[in-house]
Amino acid sequence: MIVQPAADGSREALFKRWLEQHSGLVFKVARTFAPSDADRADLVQEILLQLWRSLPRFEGKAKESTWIYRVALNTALAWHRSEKKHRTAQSPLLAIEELPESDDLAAREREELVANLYAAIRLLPKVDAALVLLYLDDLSYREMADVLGISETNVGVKLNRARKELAELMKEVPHGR
Amino acid sequence: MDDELKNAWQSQTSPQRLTLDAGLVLNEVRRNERQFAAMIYCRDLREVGVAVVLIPVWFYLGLKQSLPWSWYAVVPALLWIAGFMMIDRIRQRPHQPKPGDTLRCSIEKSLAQVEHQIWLLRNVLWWYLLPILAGLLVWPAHRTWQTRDDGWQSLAEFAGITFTFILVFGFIYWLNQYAVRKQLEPRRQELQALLGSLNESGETSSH
Repeated sequence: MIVQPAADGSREALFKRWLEQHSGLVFKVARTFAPSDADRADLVQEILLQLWRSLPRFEGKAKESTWIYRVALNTALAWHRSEKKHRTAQSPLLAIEELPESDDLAAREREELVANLYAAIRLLPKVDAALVLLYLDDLSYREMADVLGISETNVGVKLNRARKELAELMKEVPHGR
Repeated sequence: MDDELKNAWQSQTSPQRLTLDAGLVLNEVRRNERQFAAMIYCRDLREVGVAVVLIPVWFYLGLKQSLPWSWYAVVPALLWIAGFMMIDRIRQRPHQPKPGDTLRCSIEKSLAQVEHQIWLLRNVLWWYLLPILAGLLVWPAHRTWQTRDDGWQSLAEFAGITFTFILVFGFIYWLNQYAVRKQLEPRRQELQALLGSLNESGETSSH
């Protein structure tokens, strides 16, 4: 789908649609790069702000999810690099609510696996962590290359190594969120 | 193994529920965008403004106390600093990382920014401290020359003023180099490591 550069009205509509359709992606990036709840809320807020700023540059040439990944990962890496700024929103934008444990054994096991996966990904070098996120969300090599700005061949080499490292780490990590 | 991980990842349900109110988010990002624009404007104004504001203050003091021409020797230095900062800011603006850049492009731009900051602070002596110091010392030197009949006393006075200025400016220089060592160099190394990890399979930059 080709999207025209966002004008005033469409910018707002597009942003709201992205929030509805792709907020899961933002949360995944935030959960990977910010382990604590406070940091996570802070990072989500920063990613959303950068997404809003990125809208005038979005021309629809890249897939929406690829674009959002670019913005989210850039923000997460920069956020990690710089001082953490706890923005003071006038109202809390992000409500974090603990859910009761599921009764379903399969669901509980899956949650545990995902928690271990996050813990293992956090131990990877940052670029590898970003690559693994994209891989787990089933992006193609082309799309991963497009997010990171490297060649598909390079994606293949790095991903191979990162997957091996992740598999090793998965054997070692304690449970984590 | 990979398929199992992918399935679990893609169907993940967090032990926490994270909810967003789209309307609130929209209001907040707009408010934040205005704040950001104001912050950039204030920063630019502050950096250039201090030098610009000092010029009329200098003229006011000089005219009020009927001071000689040498009092105004600092004005060209202030103009030079204001101009230098303004041109530098304008030249650097297009090179800032933008949301939507690829990861590599964003890291390269950030690295270039940090390296430029390091260059500025390392050379602060030449473009900031020395012009101001030279401008500031012309007036006491001129006064010493005018009162040279007093002998050692006026020379000692000039030496004292010069020493004090050198101490103050030396401290400012040290502060700038400290910021390079403690803040900018570690950030540069971190960015270089990130860029290196993107490049390490032997690929050269595509930008």
